[in-house]
Amino acid sequence: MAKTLWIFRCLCAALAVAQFAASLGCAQVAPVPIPQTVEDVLHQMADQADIIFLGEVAAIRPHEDGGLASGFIEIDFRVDRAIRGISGGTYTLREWAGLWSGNAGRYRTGERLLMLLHAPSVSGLSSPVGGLDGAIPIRGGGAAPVLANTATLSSTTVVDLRWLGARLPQSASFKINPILPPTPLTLSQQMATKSVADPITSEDDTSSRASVSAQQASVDTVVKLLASWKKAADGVR
Amino acid sequence: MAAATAFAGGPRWVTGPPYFNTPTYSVVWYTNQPHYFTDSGDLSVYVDHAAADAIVAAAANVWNVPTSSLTLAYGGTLNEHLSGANVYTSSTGLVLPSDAQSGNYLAKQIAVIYDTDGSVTDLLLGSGASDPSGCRQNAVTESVDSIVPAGYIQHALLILNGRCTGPAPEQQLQMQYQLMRAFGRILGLGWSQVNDNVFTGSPAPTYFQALNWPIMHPIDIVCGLYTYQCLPQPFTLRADDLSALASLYSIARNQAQPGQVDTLLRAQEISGTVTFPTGQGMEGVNVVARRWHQYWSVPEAWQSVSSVSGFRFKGANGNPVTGPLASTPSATGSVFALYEGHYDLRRIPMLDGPWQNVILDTEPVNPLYTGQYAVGPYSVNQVAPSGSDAQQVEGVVASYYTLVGKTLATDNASASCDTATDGVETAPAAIDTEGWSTGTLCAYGHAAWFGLGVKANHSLTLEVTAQDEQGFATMAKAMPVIGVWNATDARGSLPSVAAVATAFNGSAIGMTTVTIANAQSRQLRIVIADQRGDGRPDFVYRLRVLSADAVSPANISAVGGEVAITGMGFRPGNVVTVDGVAATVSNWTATSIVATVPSSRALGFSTALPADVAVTDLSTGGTTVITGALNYAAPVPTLNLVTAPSGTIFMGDTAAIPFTVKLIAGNGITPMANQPVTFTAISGAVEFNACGAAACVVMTDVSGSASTTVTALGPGNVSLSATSAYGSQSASFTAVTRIRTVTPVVPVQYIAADTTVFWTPQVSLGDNSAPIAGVRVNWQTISGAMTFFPMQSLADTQGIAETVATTGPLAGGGRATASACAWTTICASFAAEGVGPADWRLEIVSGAGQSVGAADILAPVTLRVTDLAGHAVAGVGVQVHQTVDEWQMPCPDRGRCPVPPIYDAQVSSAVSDTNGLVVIALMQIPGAAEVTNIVAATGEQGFVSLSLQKQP
Repeated sequence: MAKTLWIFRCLCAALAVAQFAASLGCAQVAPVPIPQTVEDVLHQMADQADIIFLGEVAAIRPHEDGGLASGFIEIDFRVDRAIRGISGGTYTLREWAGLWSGNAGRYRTGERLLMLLHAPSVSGLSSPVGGLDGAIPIRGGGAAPVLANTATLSSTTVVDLRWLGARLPQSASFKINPILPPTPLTLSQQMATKSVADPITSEDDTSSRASVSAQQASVDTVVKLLASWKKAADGVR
Repeated sequence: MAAATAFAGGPRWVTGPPYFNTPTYSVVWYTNQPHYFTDSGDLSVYVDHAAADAIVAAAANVWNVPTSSLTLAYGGTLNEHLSGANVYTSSTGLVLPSDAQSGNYLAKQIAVIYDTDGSVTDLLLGSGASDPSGCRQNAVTESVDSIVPAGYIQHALLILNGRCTGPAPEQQLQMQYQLMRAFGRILGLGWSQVNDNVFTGSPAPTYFQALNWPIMHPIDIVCGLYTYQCLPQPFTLRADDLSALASLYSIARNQAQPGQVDTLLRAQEISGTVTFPTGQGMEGVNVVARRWHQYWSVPEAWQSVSSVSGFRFKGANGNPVTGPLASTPSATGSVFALYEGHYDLRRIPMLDGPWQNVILDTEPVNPLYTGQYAVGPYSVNQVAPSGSDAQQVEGVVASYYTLVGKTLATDNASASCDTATDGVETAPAAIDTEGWSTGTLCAYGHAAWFGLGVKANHSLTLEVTAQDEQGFATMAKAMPVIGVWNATDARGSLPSVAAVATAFNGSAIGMTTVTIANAQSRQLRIVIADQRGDGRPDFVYRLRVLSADAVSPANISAVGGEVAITGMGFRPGNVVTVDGVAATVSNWTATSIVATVPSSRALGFSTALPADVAVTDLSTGGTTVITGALNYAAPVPTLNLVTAPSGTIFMGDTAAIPFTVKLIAGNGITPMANQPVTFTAISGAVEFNACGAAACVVMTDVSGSASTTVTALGPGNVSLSATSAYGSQSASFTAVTRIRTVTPVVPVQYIAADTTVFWTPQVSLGDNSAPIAGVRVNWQTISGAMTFFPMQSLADTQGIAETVATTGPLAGGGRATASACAWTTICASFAAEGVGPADWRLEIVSGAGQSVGAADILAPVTLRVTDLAGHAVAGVGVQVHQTVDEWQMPCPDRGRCPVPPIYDAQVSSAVSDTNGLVVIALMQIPGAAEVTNIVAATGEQGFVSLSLQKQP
């Protein structure tokens, strides 16, 4: 087993961005700062969005008689809070049916979402910014009722930003476990009813992308943030 | 279905009703040799056609491995370069060149489009979607646009966004990486979870864990600009990818063609079921395998291969609220119970040596892996496994080893499936009378049906909260949906009254809720089901029906008052409002609330009205309303109390605060003038000063007020009333008698006859009504020789007043008298009486019998002059004779007693003070042993003698 400490290129945002920018002297690609917080991620996605609103899926209507690739799906939203690009009421998102080929549940009637959308193209088709990451779930965040408890909490709905949190940078340096002991064991020794060593024992890093309660914020907070951000100029994008 | 020859882990789709003809098979390409055809143009100014083809070939060839029957080959070019010029919309939809369409699948299975300027990406995904800032998501767009009911993939599109290429080689490598993963998807591979700590970062991953992190991981980690740099050997399939590929395109034993090997050559397959103790399969559990070399003391510290239980089962099905599934290819999975907990580790590669052991663990699927990132059958929401990992070891497995039926049971999983209290559609169960109940959506497809009668104009709220095994609210178990019908609606129909088809719409965690208005009395049929049509022993739900039934009393005066609200689903903290105005709640139980409701005027009305009563739970937003529950009577004029005497008032005094009432019209604003108000004393004797009588009628003034002061005439409790035609008000106080006293401290002062004496007479003042300091006292002679200066003085804080009296001379037995008067009429008399010399007597008060050391000092001797009755006599002269002798031993028993020498002698006099006291300062020689002899005499018979010693 190799003893080499294999270390991937460490995250060094400033250096990487500088190199990237230098390499693009005549390119059409503009450097994109690497976000450091979930708010940064949301801000970047908002910069790419022409339409932003908070709403509930009211109806889904497929139009794919000619096949998935040529069809489209219409999703009607009841807009609760219009933030950019629309004025409220009802908004119909028209998506390329090809996106639905393997995802029956892209949207569900009654689902509440914060939508960050590209502007419809000349075809009238559009989609969320960053794939479905731009369709951010809204969910309840208050305590569940228990008969014996005093009901004094106020209602709470939160924006579930966990998937945006997955876009935050992390180190790609990996540690090498100690080399396995070469001591031969008999079969009976191996099959003894001892507990097997758990390989996923943790060091002191307790961060987890599966447990990110911090990556949620109240609807009001997120809406205020989005409303305060101006869309990035097209020339910058 | 030649390609789906074995059950295995990792398919993106599995056949099942209603779209597919035959259930349970992985959806694979109709041919084991699908060809891809590339766009005839360049990808970008940086990547010409040939370079683009090289990128595509590199990405595709990753999937051509010896252990799989699949060959993904280059088939040639498309007939044209696709762009916004030849991809457009028409009246019938989107138009693609004919050879890129799915109908051309027999000739060209996979169309790879070089979207040079991003116009196709923009056309399909929206304006600006091709922007390079979104390349991590939109560099490659894949679509499998033809899956037939037989379970085959016929055609797919891959759109490469040319704007995501550039002068940096890393940009092309990043596109190749994303294209490689997209090829995996269009081949029919699902996302996979192995060594997920590489994604979560916890615990910190090792190199070998990263090396075994599958290429088909759902979400990239970001470590810089290019995600392919975030994992080692990014263009090499992992054991899990190979296992998943083999599950779709396997090579049976001895069937390998040249360049291929049998799928299980030097590999094993282990399949079985994860089960609940009830025997039901447990779906959505990630089963992972680790290898254990025959000569190593521990297994590998990383996972190799995975399979999610129930991967061939339906992760989403219809339910009574939504109806059956739509017939689309994405309605994946079978409904055979056999597959509900089924897993298949299709190809576990062997370490060196003839055999190895395999460690099997179970773990939850990361809750982020849903929707477009879904791992396993549950797409909408992952379900946390019930119980904990029950690790098992499969020992001594060799090449081609295949184990079918390996059962895995987690520790302490939910073990019961009691739905006895749930009704069925044809016979719904009654709602618990308290409105709170708990149930389980078990087994698969189970729905709980309830019946509930509601009254007209009553609304109610249903709240269903998913709970975990510990009773905590969760979003990782059941996804409750609610449907409501009229009881008379046809069975099997969709909900006609209310439906919540998407779970967790409440503001509390894990809660689905709906509020139902009822204009008419009716019987409701209610269903609770899982959104996915699922049902298992750990799908516990808590049902709450928040419903107000009645308000008592239903008729109430305009001023409001206390009412009781009966119903169900109440709990402490619930808020009561009447027409939106808050009531004051004093008590809660699950079935009743006691509240004091506001006046109709507080509601903004001055007439009789029916009002709505609402009970709201602020923590959930749940509410129940009874429309017109309270009937307020029309408001009437009111007589309001403004001020009234109270407390204690002395008889004869007039209370400082008048008895004032105010008459207001029914509108609550307008004063009513010229209305009679009768003031009477219900008990006690008073005089109403408005008319100087014991009863009095006063007319209200322009402000509606009637007022009178009150004078108490007799002691005791007094109760008053002010009465008008529109009501009455009362007042009460206590009348008490005033008591004032003046008492001499010394009623008789005795003084020496025929002498003038100055002394200080004092009187003590008492008053039960108020403090007495500062009250003036007048001193006045009544008879005899006694004068005062000053003749007026003030009482101090102790109530004592004093002056100086000059008294005498008086004859023996003669008297002088005087008085001290306060508050003008309250007086006390006192006297001075002369005592003649024949009656003076002396007594020792203190200082007798002293015997101290020579170095000490004798204390003074105090005498008192009294008369025959023992009264102290002031102004008496006392003669005092003192001699100081040498101290000597006591006289002997026999013989002459020597006379001690006299050191000193003195005669003095003193005058007794007001208390008859005379203090004698003793003669004594400091430091000497001596005897002081004292003889005191006064008048004709007053005499005392004593000797005091200072001993050596």
